[in-house]
Amino acid sequence: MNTGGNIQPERSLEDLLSYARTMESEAAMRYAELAGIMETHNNREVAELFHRMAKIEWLHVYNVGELARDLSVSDQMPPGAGDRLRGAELPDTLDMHYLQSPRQALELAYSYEQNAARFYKELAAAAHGEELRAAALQLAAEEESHMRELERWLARFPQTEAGWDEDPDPPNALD
Amino acid sequence: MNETLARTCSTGVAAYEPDAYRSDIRPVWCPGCGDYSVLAALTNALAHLQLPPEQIALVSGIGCSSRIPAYTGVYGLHGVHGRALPVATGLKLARPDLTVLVAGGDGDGFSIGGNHFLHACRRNADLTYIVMDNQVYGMTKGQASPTTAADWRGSDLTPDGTGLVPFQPLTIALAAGANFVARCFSGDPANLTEILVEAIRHPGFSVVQVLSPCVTFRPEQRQWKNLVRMAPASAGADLRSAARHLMEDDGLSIGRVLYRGDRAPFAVKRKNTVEVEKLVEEFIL
Repeated sequence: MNTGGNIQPERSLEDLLSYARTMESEAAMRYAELAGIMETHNNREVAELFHRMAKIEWLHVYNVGELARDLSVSDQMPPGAGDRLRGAELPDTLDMHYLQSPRQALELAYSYEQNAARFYKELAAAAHGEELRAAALQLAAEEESHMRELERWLARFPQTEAGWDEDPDPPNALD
Repeated sequence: MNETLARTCSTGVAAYEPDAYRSDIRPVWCPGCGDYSVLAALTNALAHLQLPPEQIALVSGIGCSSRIPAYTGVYGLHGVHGRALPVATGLKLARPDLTVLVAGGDGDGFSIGGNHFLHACRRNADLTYIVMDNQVYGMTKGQASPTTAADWRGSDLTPDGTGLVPFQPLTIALAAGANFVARCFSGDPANLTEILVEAIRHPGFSVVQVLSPCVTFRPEQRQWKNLVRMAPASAGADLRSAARHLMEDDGLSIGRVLYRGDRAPFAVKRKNTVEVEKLVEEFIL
């Protein structure tokens, strides 16, 4: 989908933090969903990785809440959030495969975090005021710290072998 | 840290969170199935509306997507194939105080339940109908459905394609009198949440067609993510412009309300209540 034009200068710090909270909550819930999917399909190693990512994202939600503590930031999804968040490329169940390796799961998570960091950096670049720019850059830095954490995890897992998705009894086999 | 704690820490206010609308039953859809995102968007929408779970009923038919009531914590009925709409209509008329949602797939809603779909649009009871359209019967292992393209050759039952013109659910919904029409994509759940909020709020019969890929029997639908595009700006109550858009569209424009009518929802006038003893007397021979 064309995502161009979704990044817009934020109106205020409250506006930015409201979007950030929506986005980080969404990411946390979707990581938890991905973990649940993998548990259902007995891929426990990948499930555990996604659970850990969900916890990291909830911590991020908390941190956004701390930034917003003295501001009147709405707890509701901001109007138009659907359009605006499209550029953020959040974790997506469509990317899942039941035979996914831990490394592939981490690579997926890495791409989501990379997108989130880019999203905040673009917001910072478009922000009108210095305060807004600083807040957006702080949020981008948090995402980049997730990326560094993921890089350390990735180093522990071998490359995925060719034929990883071959299943002798696939779910779409006709009886 | 979980969501409730995070929100409470940040705002000091605890409210209905999306998890309040989830059950303990874990979905068994295939990994990659779009229906996961529909479930998430629905619970997000309900949390946004802050509707008490006990004031909501979710009725479904049969099929993969019709499993959805089991995964929610609201009142649910996993009903008869194609008959979700009449059941939901009866429920809404008997209990107008409830928010009644209906969910199902393209086979359930447009083939087996096709007739009910037409008349639900005409009747315009205050229901929100969420159709997870993957253009295939997934639960029975991949047969062509009413919305499958005429030349799809993925099933042994139709090796040369069906040769049939695909059903156009939203064009038909408009023609039959639905009061709110929108198309969304499961891969864009934040937008789907917004549209569901609008659909639930809108009085009358709301139809939300959700393109929800079946990655097992239609793996090519993973490409929908790259093919869908935003529809033109949200429409108002102009039936003609909505119809023109749908007639010219290839079925892949999403994310906007296409029609928002102002027809009053169908409701039954409540009869005066009578004492149980009086009713019993009527049955004494």
